[in-house]
Amino acid sequence: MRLRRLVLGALLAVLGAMASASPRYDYLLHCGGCHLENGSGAPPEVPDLRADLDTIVAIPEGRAYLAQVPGASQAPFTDAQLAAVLNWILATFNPELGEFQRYTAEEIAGYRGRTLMNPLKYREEIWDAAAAARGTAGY
Amino acid sequence: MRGSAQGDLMERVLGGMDRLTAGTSRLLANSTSRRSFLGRFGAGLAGMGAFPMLPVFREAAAAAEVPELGDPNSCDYWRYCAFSGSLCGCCGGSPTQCPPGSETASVAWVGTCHNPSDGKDYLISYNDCCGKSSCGRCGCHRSEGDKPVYFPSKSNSILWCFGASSHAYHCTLSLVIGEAESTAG
Repeated sequence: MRLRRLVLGALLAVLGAMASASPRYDYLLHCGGCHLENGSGAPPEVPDLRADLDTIVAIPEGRAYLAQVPGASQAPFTDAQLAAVLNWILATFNPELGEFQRYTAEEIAGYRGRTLMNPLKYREEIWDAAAAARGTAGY
Repeated sequence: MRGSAQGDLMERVLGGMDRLTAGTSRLLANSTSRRSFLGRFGAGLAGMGAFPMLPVFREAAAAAEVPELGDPNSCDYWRYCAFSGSLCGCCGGSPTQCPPGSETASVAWVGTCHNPSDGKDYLISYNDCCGKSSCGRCGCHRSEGDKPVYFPSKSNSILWCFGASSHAYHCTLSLVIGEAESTAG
């Protein structure tokens, strides 16, 4: 009985590992079409993920925004997957951040629960606030 | 006085140019045939088609190791599992290169297809070639994984030429951008 439970547990763990792809794969499949493999995007329509993210995540609203922007919030990811993809983006495209506070699934769930009614307008406000917090003008 | 000196100079220069042109033409006529010129000119024209595509051939490194099986001009070809549009191979280009005169859209929609020859799954980037009127040949619409327009990043109904300077759709490429690390993702 105990052995059976153990085997079942191991099987579930393997299935779980199979179901969750690597963050890089998730990024390429669901984000990379527009943000491109190297994160450069096509500004101004598609933001460059190698620029400004370090400034944005420095303020709480900006940190939340990265999970709330429709492309992220509405991607077919679980909260854990989205957390992993955002962590991967920050670590890969913004190495200047060094050690940073990693997103958790619980944190993402909170952000995703608050829909942005006007993402573009909100984004401008966030960007200004983030730039001001950093002591630079504009972004 | 000054005017006539300038006239002399002009005459000398023009005369020199005449002689040079005539000499070169004669040399060319003696040493080459019209056919060889036409042949080289034709090769040049055909080769020029490759230039606009050079910078967009991003997947060369990844594609080198991907074993291919089947006819790239058939809708059944493995790379086209999520394809919707005209095959660039039927429009003067290839599955990885836009036809001359069209421009590759930088943004694309990405899907995963199973390669039967090595049993692996690959991430395929479907980049549209834009800036030229619709090719219309080899229309393929397998569209596996296609979502309604309320899911724009995975919708084939979106005009993916929005990532190019002209929004006129011509045909679609199928670029391998990597190996899928998980099939269930």
